[in-house]
Amino acid sequence: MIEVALAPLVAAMLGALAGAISVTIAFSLVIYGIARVGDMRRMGRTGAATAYGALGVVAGLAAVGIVAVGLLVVTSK
Amino acid sequence: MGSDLILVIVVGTALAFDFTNGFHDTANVVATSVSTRALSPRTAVAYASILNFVGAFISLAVAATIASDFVDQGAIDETVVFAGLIGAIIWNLLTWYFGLPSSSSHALIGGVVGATLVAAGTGAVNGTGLVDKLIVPALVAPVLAFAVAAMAIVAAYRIVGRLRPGPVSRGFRLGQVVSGGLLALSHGTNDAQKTMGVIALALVAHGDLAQGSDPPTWVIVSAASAISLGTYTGGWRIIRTMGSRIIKMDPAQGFAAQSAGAAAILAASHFGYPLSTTHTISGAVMGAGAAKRLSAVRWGVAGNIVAAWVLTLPASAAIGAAVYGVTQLFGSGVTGPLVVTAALLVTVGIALARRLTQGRAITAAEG
Repeated sequence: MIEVALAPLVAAMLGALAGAISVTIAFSLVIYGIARVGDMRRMGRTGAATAYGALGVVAGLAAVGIVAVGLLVVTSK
Repeated sequence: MGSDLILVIVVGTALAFDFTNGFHDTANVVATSVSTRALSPRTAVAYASILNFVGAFISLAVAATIASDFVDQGAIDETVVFAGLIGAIIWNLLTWYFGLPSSSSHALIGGVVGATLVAAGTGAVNGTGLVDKLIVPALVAPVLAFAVAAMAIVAAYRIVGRLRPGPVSRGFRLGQVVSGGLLALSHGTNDAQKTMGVIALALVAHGDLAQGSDPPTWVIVSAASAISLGTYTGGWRIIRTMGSRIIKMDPAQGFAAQSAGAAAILAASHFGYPLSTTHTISGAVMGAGAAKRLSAVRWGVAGNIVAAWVLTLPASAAIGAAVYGVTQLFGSGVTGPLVVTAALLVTVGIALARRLTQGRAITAAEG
């Protein structure tokens, strides 16, 4: 009877799922933040523009962080 | 001396296989970036080639799986590895000639397993390793990439769906420079390591490498160079045909598909699963397409993947076994591998010449 080692398979599946979806969400938030900054500036709402700008920056840092962590995990033995 | 010559032939054949793998897979790696105009074809191909090379250095888990988890390293010799490689090459050439779906990765493993079965019996083949590290991941990876890409694009549309399309497309095109790079990196990681694993297997059989050791640096560098060169060379063919074969998707879908494909292949590489990168990338592209509109997906591609699953392993194993049998007709020395190599080169030359002649005849008739 052949037994499949499920733990590494499930870990690989969850890693792929978490990595791809979180990076897509983070990058979408970067685009959303940047696009809304422009809209808010045109409407003269400086406070809201700053908040959306901050959202874009934080999401950008998160996206870079997710990619970096992913690559570090893959390169580690 | 004869044994040394067989090793040289095996290493040369493995690197040639690696080159054709890169050549063949350029389209999968760069098509999404090119079709959404995130990168020009020339830039995409050069970029993918460089990242293929870099990717080959970031992990050795897949090479270790190929070298030690499928066949008993102590029970085989260089001729078995040679027969397995030739079995994979013949299967790839047959499927290319007749237009059948295939997977180079599965063909490589199938060929080596088939030759091992004939040379050393069932005891030398690790059935658990095959199911655990090859068959189950082969079934899971494309489905996983499909589901992840579909979920990712749904999440992206929820966030950016009400924004003006212009800035969104420009943003995701920029993102695709990174996601496309990660896809090329992941491709180099998984596919180049298969060649490293096969060369390591031959080095163990030859007595130049201890069982369970990592491949030497020259193996890693040469496998990385071969796949990278293949990707770059294959790119020029892709540049010419890209205009008529592009996949229709928007930059957000491209970003989601590339992220899902790269994540699935990188995660698999970390755990030492040798995947069919073509199947995984195809699954991700279909998932990103299906989430927007089911009819946008070329479901025939899914059928091709299933057919490749069913056909490739047993067929390449049978050919690998037959090639080993033929080499043994000439004794256990270098004569068998030399005769098989010469016969293969002549056959490929004739097939290419016939293809070219038929092509000219068709062109003349159409003209």
